[in-house]
Amino acid sequence: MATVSLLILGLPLVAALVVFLTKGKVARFAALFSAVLTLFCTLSLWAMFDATKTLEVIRLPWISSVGIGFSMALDGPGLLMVLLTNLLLPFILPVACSQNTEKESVLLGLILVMQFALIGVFMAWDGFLFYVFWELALIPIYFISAIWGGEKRQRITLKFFIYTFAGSLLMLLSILTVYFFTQGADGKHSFDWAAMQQANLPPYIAPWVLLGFFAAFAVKIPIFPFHTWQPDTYTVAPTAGTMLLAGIMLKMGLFGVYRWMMPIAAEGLPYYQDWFLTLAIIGVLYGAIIAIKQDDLKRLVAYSSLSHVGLIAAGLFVGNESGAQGALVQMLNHGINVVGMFYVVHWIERRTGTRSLENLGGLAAKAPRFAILFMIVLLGSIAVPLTNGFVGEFLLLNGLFQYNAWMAALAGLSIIFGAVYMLRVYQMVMYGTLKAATADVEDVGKLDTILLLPVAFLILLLGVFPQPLFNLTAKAVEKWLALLGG
Amino acid sequence: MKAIIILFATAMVVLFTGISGKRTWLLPLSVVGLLGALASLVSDAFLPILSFGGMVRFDGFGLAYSGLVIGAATLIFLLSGAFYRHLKHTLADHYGLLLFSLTGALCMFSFEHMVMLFLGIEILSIPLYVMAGSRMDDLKSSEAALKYFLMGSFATGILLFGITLVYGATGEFEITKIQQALDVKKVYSMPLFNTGLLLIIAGLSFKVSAAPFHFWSPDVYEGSPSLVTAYMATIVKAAGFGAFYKLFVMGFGPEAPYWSMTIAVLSALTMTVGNITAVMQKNFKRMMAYSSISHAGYLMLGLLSGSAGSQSLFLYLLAYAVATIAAFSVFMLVNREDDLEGGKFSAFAGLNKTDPLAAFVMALSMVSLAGIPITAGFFGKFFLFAGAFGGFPWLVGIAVVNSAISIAYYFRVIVEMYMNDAKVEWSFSAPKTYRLVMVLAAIVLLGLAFIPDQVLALVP
Repeated sequence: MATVSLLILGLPLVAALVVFLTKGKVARFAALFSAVLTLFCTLSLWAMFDATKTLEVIRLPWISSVGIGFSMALDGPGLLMVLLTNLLLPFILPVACSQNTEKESVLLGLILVMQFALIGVFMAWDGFLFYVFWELALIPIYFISAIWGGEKRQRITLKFFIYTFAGSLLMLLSILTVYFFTQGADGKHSFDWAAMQQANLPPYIAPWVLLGFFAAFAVKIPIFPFHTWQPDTYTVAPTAGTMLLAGIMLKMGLFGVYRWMMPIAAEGLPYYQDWFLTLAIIGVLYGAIIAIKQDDLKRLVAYSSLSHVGLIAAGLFVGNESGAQGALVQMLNHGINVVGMFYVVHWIERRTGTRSLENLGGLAAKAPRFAILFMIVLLGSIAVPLTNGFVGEFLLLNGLFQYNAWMAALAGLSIIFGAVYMLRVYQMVMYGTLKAATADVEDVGKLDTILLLPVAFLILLLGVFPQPLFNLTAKAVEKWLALLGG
Repeated sequence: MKAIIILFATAMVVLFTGISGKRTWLLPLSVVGLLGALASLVSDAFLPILSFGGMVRFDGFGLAYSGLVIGAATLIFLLSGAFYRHLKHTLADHYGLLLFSLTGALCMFSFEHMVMLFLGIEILSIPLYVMAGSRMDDLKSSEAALKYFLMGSFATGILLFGITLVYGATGEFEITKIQQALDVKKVYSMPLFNTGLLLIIAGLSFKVSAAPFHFWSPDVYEGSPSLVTAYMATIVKAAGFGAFYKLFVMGFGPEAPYWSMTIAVLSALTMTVGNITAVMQKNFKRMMAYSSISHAGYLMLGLLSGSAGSQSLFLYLLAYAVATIAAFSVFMLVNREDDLEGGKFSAFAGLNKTDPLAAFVMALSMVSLAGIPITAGFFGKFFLFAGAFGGFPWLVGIAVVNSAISIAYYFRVIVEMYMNDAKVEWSFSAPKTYRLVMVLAAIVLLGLAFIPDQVLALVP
């Protein structure tokens, strides 16, 4: 199994090199082929996977003089994230191709490098290695957004880069601090996850360590008020980049909270738990309320995503079983839904040439099949029962309720707001009179169906039958809660 | 020890070859001399350490750092062929002066007697005063030379004064003996000794362009020919920090609690001033000048991490020197005439289309200077930060904030290269030697990630 995991890690990198060196159709084929192959490997790894244990993928000495190892491992939640990454890549690559951009092979190559870095983040079992992959993921997405993005991209992407880089550096300080309190097997300090987890942080240090981690993750997730880069960047990035950002990259932050911040700095959590939760819930409401008033579709989905991930973060911060389970499952579900939503926006923009709600209307009559697919994606986003969104949000709110009923009530409002803004979008885009932009729109083409149908199918399937996901996370969450307690 | 002699001999031979008019021989001769000096370092590792009557100590530290600057100088010499293509009669003088200056750097890494340190600094600096003004028809260049000379000689004067006071307090000139004397005598309470230390810090801070002694460097960097700027930004900086480390950590180490706070404050000041001013620059060379000031600030962290500092300083200097030389090689390519107008950031516009390799190497150097994984600069920064973190967490915090700020100006170059269109048509391609330097630099910047342990092990 370790070999398959290594293959999953290595394939995208090899494919990226091939894609960089080729052009046109060959590059497209190589990229897609690698993405599908990686997905296949991931699914077969899932089939063999024993979720009660942690699978050691690789353990090599790297900078042994200071206790840094090239060590990677996978547990249930880790695999879930790898699954998310590899599941979404076959959707994202065709979107990148459909834009017919200049230097397409470079774009595809960067996306594959990004995939490599993301998988590395999810597999890393060494604090230093985690940081390296964490930063590595930033480079390709910066170039994707800054080269192929929309208006004012230079300023916006630079802000995004500096913002996240500053957060990451503070995390590096936290990792360093923990490192000096570790006691490895040979008496030396170590960056190994287990050693860092067992480090005895003094009470006056632990809250600082927690805050350092929080700085990096809060920017990445993003949590209010560290979100200011997010709506602009999502809007300005090309759709493939937005999908990477919203679908997978922000899960790095959530996953970081789960894997690194909470277990390692658990001693500091009581000092700041309520603060973190309050910020997360403000973000939930803030994102939802602002989304109601948006006119630009892409921006609207960006704000709705801000609201959704706030809830996931809150589910992690409460530190109970329901919250954590819900958060992990919802990370995958949110990834699928948001990529579906951005694809819908992308389709509308391509067909009508506009993303402004003002200029849209009456599409349902012109594109009935699109109307159905859009509806399913939208329902998943609102978290209607029997869609995947519901499963996660229910558990999240339940977890939050166990911690504090008022917080749950406030966060629960977001479901109502969600229905408001999403149904408003549907109404304004699909019904009403035809506008100039929508007058001669054709229904979904073959490629669109191939891409949107599986998304819609997954939304319904995981809504009715989420058990396989829980099988992956249940045992790990139990252990995780033990780490927080002890 | 042999390396110093070889370099000196090479410089002499180059000068005489210049007189006999064999222009094309000069560069190969110099490079062979440099490589010979590099090779001799390996054999020096087996020789007695103290030589020249106890004036010079060639230990592992000196050998490793000498190797670093000789390697960097080789890269710079490779660039010089195309850079000095217009130069008719004085080429041998240029090469000779650069080689003489390099011997000074070697003395600064291997001094035992403080007089040797002073001599090393002078041997390093005097040729550079000349080189800074080597473009005689250019007013800016003459200004640079005059400024550098006046302020530089003043700084060496202060340094010398400091050395005298320390001698007065300890009665010793040799740093190992000073170290022993410090253990015995309670000198830290002597105003004589402390004043001496402060003066030495001021003198050396000038050489490494640390704030508030940095005012000369932007003007001098901007006015000097780009090749000389690259030399100053890398080799002079490395030599300055080698001497700084040797004198303070190895020599005055036992007194660390008394001087480390001064260095820490200087470090915080240097990196902040350098970074914030660099953001506001419009000219690439001035930006690199301020960036080199901020790097001096980071490098001072290496003086605060005790004996582990020699390794982390080495790694950082290696990454910094290679990235800076690579950046200057691309700069000399886009600004072929080396004039002020061509020195703006817009000179890089659209480079990705005209010369993808140069653009890639430039982007890589900028990313490395900013300290982003997995480039060499990241490992350098990581070890510097980790080393000083135990003693000065607040300082590392400031360094981290500064690293984030530095993105703003390093990425400006990347934005120009990849996102803007070229304003002028290009009609030439890079000389082969430039290509070679770029590829070598890229290999070092990316390859260090695979062997950081082995590189660290070069320094004892």
